[in-house]
Amino acid sequence: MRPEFAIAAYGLTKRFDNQISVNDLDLEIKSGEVYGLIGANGAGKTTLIRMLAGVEEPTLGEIYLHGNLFSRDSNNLTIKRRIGYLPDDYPLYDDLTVWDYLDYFARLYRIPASRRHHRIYEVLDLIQLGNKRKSLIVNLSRGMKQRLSLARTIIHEPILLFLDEPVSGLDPISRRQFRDIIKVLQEAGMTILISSHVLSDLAELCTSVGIMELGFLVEGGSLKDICQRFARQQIIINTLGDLATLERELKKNSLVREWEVISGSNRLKVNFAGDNSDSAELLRSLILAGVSLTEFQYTQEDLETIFLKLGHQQAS
Amino acid sequence: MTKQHKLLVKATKSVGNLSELNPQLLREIKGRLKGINIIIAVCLSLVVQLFIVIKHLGRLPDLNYQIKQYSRYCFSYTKSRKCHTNLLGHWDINWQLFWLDTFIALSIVIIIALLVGGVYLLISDLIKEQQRGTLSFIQFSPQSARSILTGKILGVPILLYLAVLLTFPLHSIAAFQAGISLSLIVGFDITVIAFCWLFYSLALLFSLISTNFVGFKPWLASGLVGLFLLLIRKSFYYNYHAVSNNIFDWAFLSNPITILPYFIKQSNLLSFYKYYLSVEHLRDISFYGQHLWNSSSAAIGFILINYYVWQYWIWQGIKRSFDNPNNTTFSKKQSYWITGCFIFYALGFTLQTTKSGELFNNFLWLQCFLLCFFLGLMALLSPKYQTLQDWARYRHQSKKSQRILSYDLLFGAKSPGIVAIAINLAIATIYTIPALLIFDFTKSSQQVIWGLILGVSIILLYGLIAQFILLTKNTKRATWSLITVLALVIIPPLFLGIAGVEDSSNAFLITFLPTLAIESAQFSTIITVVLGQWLTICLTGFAITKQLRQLGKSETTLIS
Ligand SMILES: Nc1ncnc2c1ncn2[C@@H]1O[C@H](COP(=O)(O)OP(=O)(O)O)[C@@H](O)[C@H]1O
Ligand SMILES: [Mg+2]
Repeated sequence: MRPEFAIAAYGLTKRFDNQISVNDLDLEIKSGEVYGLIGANGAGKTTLIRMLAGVEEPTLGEIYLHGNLFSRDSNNLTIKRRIGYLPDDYPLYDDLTVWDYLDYFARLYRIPASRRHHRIYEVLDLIQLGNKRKSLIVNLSRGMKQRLSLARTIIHEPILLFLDEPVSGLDPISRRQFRDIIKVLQEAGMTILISSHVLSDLAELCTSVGIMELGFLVEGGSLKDICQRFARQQIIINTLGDLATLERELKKNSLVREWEVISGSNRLKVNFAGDNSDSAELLRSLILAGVSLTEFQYTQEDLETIFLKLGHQQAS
Repeated sequence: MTKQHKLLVKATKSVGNLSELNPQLLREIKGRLKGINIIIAVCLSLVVQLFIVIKHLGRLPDLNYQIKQYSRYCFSYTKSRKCHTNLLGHWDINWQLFWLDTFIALSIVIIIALLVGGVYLLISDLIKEQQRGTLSFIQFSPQSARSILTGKILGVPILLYLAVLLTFPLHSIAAFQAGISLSLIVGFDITVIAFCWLFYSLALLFSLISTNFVGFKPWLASGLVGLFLLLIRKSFYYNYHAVSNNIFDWAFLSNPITILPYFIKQSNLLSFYKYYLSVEHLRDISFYGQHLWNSSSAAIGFILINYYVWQYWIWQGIKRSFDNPNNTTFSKKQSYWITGCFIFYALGFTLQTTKSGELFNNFLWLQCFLLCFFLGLMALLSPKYQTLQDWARYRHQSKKSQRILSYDLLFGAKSPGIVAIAINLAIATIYTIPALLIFDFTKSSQQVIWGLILGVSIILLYGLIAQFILLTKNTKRATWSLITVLALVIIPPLFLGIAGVEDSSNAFLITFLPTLAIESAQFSTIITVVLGQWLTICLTGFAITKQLRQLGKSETTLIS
């Protein structure tokens, strides 16, 4: 079923006692995408990821990974072997060294002895911990531990990566390092699902995003697509002349939704559905119509607020 | 490179080759075999060995002390139990007995250390992995539960193994000097290893199944194992209630200490071994009338088969719990086989006598064991509250085979376990009844059968009540159902005992040992009690059905 999607879930539901954490959720992620899952704390991101990675059993619904029906109990080892899952608390073993830790997981994943050495070096290189390979894990910094966890997640060359809040709690430099690593992985062809409660963590990285709120996936699509559909553009217009003429002209433009007059001035706040070039078009038409303008300012709503607003609207 | 260094490199390399087979073992070795730890383990082992030897040396007659004295290790004694000296004026020492005692003391110390220490280490290690959240990574690797957990069993107590390995020279010398044959020692070692395997497996299962009382678990388990072994050690040394010719023999025989009497016999120290449990006692034991303990090989064979059966089931449970923590420990289908195995062994040891009075007592003990077994089985067969709730709510949307209710209740993975418990009780009853008919009880067989039926019904009732409480909304449902059932089991007989009611009073018909009262009870009374029990069973069953239906319908709230 649907082999074109690397990850597909239909009717996915998870219930804890009488509370639904993920509610009848449909999700389709194409192969090679970096999909950002955004939602406030408690939105159900972790629960969703745990189900997709097979840690938790869904109450209802089906999960297909690369077209194969997937469940924790299924003996589908080929697909199980190609999943990498990084939980939000990335636990590690303090008593091992960096090298021994990766070596342990490489062996668990049955990487043959001939390739193991090379693979561990490759991964250490990627996460820039090559010089720390002999240190005990307990002595690493938080960012290093986090990268080491990521290394553990990718040591067996998975094709599906599930990363739960990988950048929360990191300083900006660590975040940048982390983003660079993700880019490399994406270029290597992995399908990656990353969750975060802050959009700005993901905006640069993701090819598409989904917004979760109260267990629902309220919106999904490419970042640009969502911006275009939901971002509210505003234009502030200040005129020297007659307000009525301006209003008459505005009515002619189909992209203008509504406006309000800022009291005590000749300023208008216009809600506008078009993008940048449409606003240039509007400006030209106003000038052609002889409206004398002193101010024409095009602003776009901040992404963060759009997502917040969106979530609340749709879920209620 | 020094010679030592080269050796070390060589050793690590061979360990590396071995670990190509089991990565978990390698990981445990890397984490644990570190300089200071090794030194501590070695020192501890040597100190304990030294202590044992010194303790036995202290029992030799004192050379500097010329007055005649008593010692266990003299060859001959005067009338007043003092040692004789030989013509040269030296003590005539029975060195063989000295070494035999040393060998046995060392063996028992090794067994206790391996069991108590190993169980503790394994449980606390697994709990640590669970709490830290690292266990799920391992569970998700393509390695099987068997390979990971075998690696744990071999690797987690590695320092303990090292310490035990260091006793090998002393152990061998002692065995050789005591005149014990190599084949018997090998048989003993195999039994010890199998025994450890069984208990370590049990420890792993114990740490995987419940998430309650986490910090307490390692102490609890190793404490219980230690207590068990100390009791057995006591009966071995002083022949104290060792063989009881009933089901307790099963527990007593299932450990390697019971092999030790064969060593004593083999060493031909006939006049001295009275101090220990003798093979003659073991000869009394029979299993379905077979006196297997006449020969050491049959005894070892029986013990090994017994271990094999139970470790097989334990590993079935381990696999299920490891693969998915939401699974019940055993599937319903497995439980039918497990009950079959249990009653097969239990009855075999119950029917050890043809004296009707003893037989009747043995039967009472069988009923007690059945009660314990079934209370345990109920816990292992009941799905989590969440699973039951989802089952009640979504059963109709699930696969076709699950929609046939009777099939689902008998074999389904997510349905309540109580129907399966009823079937298991029926299996145990049906297997036991022919024996009750064939063997001669003072009370008529028919009455004992009624006793069995009453006992089995009350176990079913306990199960239903436990299930009922497990389905309530109370957050501490598991604890409450445990407390309630224990109270139901213990309080009525306790109360009757305190009140001074006679064993044969009808009141005992409603305890878990109704057979006590069965002889003096009127047939009409028995029938009334049976009907009363079944009425209660039906009512509770009805209440549970209603509860499940409600659970399936209950309102859900969105997270907020
Ligand atoms: N094991 C659990 N038992 C009960 N409730 C849970 C469990 N796991 C998650 N939840 C609930 O599910 C909701 C979603 O949680 P989560 O998936 O962790 O959200 P997020 O990762 O988006 O912060 C929360 O309200 C949480 O209380
Ligand atoms: Mg989360």
